[in-house]
Amino acid sequence: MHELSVAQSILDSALRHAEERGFQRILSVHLKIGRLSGIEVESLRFCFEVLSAETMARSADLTVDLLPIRGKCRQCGREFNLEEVDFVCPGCHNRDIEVVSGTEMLMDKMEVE
Amino acid sequence: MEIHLKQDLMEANNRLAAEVNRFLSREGILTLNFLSSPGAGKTTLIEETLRRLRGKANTAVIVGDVQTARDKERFERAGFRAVQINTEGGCHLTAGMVEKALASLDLNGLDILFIENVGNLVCPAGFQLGEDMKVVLLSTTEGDDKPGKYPSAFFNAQVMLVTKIDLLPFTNFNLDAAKRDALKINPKLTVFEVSSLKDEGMGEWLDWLIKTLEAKRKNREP
Repeated sequence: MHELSVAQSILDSALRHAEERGFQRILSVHLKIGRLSGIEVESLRFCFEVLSAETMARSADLTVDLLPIRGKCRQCGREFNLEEVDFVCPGCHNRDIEVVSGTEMLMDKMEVE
Repeated sequence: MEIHLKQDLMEANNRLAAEVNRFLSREGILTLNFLSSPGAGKTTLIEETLRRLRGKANTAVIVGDVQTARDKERFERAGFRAVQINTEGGCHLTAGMVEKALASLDLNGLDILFIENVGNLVCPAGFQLGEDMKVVLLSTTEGDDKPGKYPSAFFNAQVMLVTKIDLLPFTNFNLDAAKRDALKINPKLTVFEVSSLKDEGMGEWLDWLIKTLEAKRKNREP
């Protein structure tokens, strides 16, 4: 539900970066979003489209890399991807797992002209 | 042309949350952020917890709602320190809102600060407010599959309170399944089963709160 405010901060930041550097048009914004971040990508895309309508980002492509949830076993050190949110080591079945990635919400790069 | 940013969208909020937490920790205040769906019983649970903490710890509440100051008034009528935050449509609190609310709260001698987030199991999970830990409520009148459906809330919490436990015989809520699923997502969750209105399980929850407060005070920066 907070996709609207996330979309707004992406747009604000993109516009600021483009304006500071004197560009006229934002062609694309590339995001990296972890699967545990709670962000719904389709809804984010929709919000971004609505918010950017009157700006230089109006035709910008919002591309998203969905990052897997990656865990590391604190017992045997094995790293692995999690398909489901079930934190168990596939090697030693230990449940003490450190989440290495999957909660990210990153604005990675943008294309401008 | 390509501009590389590698900018964390949560950074501004996280930085402010860390500041808020440092400030509250210096004062020796234990801060808890309560999350749940609407209607899981956050306000009642906090109210009954405050009542039982009288004489044992000084408490205050920051109440987040989309609209109205009803919950704040409810706390004040019961004689507790309370501040209301209206998010005006926002689906979660932010560290900035809490920072602002703290300015109008009497922190003198305060031991435990309860933050009641907006009723929503999705959005509040991703936002740190400056709390020491998140407490997630799951009531027996909801689906027992909530942990699996909303993993972020359970992943980010340190405590899960299964509320309205007195109603368990009248619902088809599978307590074991709910706990099993929640612990799969977060094996370190501390789980309590409570009914604040029927006073079931509240003793254990209160003991844990006092112990956690003492531990926080012991680890306090000199």
